[in-house]
Amino acid sequence: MQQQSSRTIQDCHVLIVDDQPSSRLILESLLEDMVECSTTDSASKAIAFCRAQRPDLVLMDVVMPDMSGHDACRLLADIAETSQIPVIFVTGSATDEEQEKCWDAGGVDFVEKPVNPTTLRNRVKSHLNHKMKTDLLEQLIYLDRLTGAFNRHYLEDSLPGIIRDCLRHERDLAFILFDIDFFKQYNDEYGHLQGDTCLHKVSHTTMHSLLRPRDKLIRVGGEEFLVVLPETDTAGALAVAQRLLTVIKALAIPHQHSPEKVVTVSAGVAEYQPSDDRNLKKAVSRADTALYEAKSQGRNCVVVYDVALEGVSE
Amino acid sequence: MITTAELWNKDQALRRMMGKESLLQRVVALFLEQYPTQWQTLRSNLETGDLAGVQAQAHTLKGSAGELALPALTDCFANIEQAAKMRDLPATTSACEQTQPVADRTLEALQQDC
Repeated sequence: MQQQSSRTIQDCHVLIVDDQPSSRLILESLLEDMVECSTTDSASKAIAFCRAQRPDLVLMDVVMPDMSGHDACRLLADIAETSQIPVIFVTGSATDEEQEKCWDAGGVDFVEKPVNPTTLRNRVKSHLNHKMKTDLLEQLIYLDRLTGAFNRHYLEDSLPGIIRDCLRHERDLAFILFDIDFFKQYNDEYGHLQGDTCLHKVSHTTMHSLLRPRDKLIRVGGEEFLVVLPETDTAGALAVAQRLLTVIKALAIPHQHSPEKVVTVSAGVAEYQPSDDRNLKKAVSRADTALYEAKSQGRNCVVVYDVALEGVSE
Repeated sequence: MITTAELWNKDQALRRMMGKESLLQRVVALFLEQYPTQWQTLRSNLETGDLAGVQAQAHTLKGSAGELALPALTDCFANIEQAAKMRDLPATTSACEQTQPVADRTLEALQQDC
């Protein structure tokens, strides 16, 4: 799901996976006037692409040298961030046995080679329409309408899967908790409508500053936001947090009760630790402790969690 | 005797590419460029008794021939694939021998028409 308003088929992105250059060329040529296409020649590259780019649909060959399309489909379904990407198999055989394998692997459909262009285009169109409607429903459930950021429901429903992935693959996971400095005074001075506009600007600027689709912005409170950064260590999260402070300050939203005279934010950075035992609250509370320290240090700064801070916040 | 129409159904190939003549030409060029290497790989696999390798290569070539609506050649590679899948070396060898003349005539037809 992307943090943006509803799209059309032309805005959708299809990944074509086939080890044969001629097959990739044909499939891409048959679809390129309808939808944005990317191509790759192996299942393992397809998985990496899906993790990084999140296409709306995958057209997957079955027989490939490095890994079968069936196995790739199972792997995609097993990764939280790619599990919602539908896979249509483009298969050279439509025997009963092959059809069973496609469904067992988790494919949403299959098209037999050599492909009939009309059938291919209509199947792709149909599944993209379905995907867009699913995305829209998820947006309504999971997006905060005011800021466009994800809401707490998303945090509660999706984060366990993100944590599970990071633990399974022994990858880092970091959080940035930040809030707008002197926001109560801002609302008192400029009014709540202007306060909403400020929240909207800060949120959108933050989303544009997060460079990977897997990085998520969640509004956890009034003016408090959480950034979830999979596969990111503390140093990486610190760099992201410092970038956020810079770009938000550069918005130059006037705030006469701020020492900087413009809207600024304070941020706390913490890393998820395996000892958290999948307990989200522990990880977020460390980021909260760091944020508290950033506020204590005068705001408009980033603090990385350190165990020594525990005594300070208490 | 296989007729020219059984070697290459160009109209069907063009329909499969939504009437895009330039696309068809590019796919034919790719096929002509890749075929010798792919056929050689299949033959090498056969010589070393790697019937799984023969099966995979025949599957690939069957797919490429099917895309271009080359019915006789598609059938040949389907036969090789099936024999190799059964791990039947004599049948696979025989199917390969029957493929060579069909492939020669098919490539000639493609080169003449494109």
